[in-house]
Amino acid sequence: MQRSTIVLAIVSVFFATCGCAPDEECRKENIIRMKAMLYTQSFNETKKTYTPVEHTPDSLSVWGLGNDSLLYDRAQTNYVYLPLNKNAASSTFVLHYWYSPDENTHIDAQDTLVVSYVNTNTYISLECGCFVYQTLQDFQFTRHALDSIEVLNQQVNTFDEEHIRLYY
Amino acid sequence: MKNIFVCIISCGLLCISGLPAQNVLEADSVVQDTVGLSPADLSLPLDTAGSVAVTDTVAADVAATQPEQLDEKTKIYEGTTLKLDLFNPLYAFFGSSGEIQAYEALVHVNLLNKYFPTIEAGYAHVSHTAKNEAAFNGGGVFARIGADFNLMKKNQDAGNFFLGGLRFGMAQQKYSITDIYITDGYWNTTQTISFPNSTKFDCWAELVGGAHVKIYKGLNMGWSVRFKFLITRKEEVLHTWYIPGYGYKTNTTFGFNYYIGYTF
Repeated sequence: MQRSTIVLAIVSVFFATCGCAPDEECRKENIIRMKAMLYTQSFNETKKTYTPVEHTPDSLSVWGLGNDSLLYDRAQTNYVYLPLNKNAASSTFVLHYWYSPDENTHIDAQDTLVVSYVNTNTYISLECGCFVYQTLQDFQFTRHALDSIEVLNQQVNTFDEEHIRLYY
Repeated sequence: MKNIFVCIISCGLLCISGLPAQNVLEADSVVQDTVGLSPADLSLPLDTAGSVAVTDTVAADVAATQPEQLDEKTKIYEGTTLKLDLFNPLYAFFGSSGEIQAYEALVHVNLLNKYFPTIEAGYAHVSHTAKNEAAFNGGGVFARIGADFNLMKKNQDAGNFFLGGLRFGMAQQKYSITDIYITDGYWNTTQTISFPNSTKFDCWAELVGGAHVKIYKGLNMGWSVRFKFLITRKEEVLHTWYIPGYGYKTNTTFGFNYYIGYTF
């Protein structure tokens, strides 16, 4: 009886002191970024309609205006993740393309994309702090190579979803 | 007459304690055991035939020949114990660097050395800063109500018990969460936000196990371990980090108390 009491007491203290302290690290997915897919419009002769076709330039560089750090450096990709500034209502990106629609044409163009949005600070936990989710509001852009923008999903959060389409 | 009075009181207590059938049988057996004695020994009235008239009055009188034994069996209220928790204040000092300060006490009533209706109350204050420099400051009162049951079948009268029980706990606290940094690594911007002056009510259930040991006269000590289930699990926007009387805010948690107390 005495021994079992002591063992019970030790186990109790162990659980009370070691088993309950919360994790100090934030384990939640906290990457929040807007995903933009690149498309071209392909004309269907039979249906007489334009259908979007994924577009991969020969190379693509992307950076935030006023920021020396490149998000993509001459990458060959048909999508880009654009991190919207959590502490501002808009973010400006520069997209520089190199691509050849045919053997005789070589395009070296640069467009500027201004994204306006509303930030929502959502408290997650003491360890994770606040996540900032964005609701896309407006797009302004130059049309050197870029033709139009289609918004698929206004809500930018931790889900890896396609938010906008950039048409060339 | 005095014995009769004592016996009536005893029977009344038996009825209150919910054990009348068993004790009526005991009284009957006492009568049967004493029927063999001479009327003179018992000072009982004789009828004309010289036989003993075994009436209710006689039964009560005979049963009163063992009043102390019956009184011990029928005693419902065995005392009230006040206990102070020593573990949490010591843990606050040595284990959590003073960021959590919790004080609690309990009062339980001993009924029949079996049942212990219990009320617990306390206060806790938390001042915690996370690795990311976000700070939680909160404090509030809590109370638990429930009962323990003596799990020992032998030596119930010795003042030493193994206890198992249930509690319903509730806490009300005021808290603030400050210095939450929102840093954007790519754009190199930072802002700090705070959520001051929030109030929260939480409640939970507990399974309790522990021991209660008599040290000297009324002085006693004991411990308890608790498994707690949070009832108010709904994730509100600004949820708490710590709940007074419950612990860190997780759906389930453990608790421990080490008591020193006095039984009145």
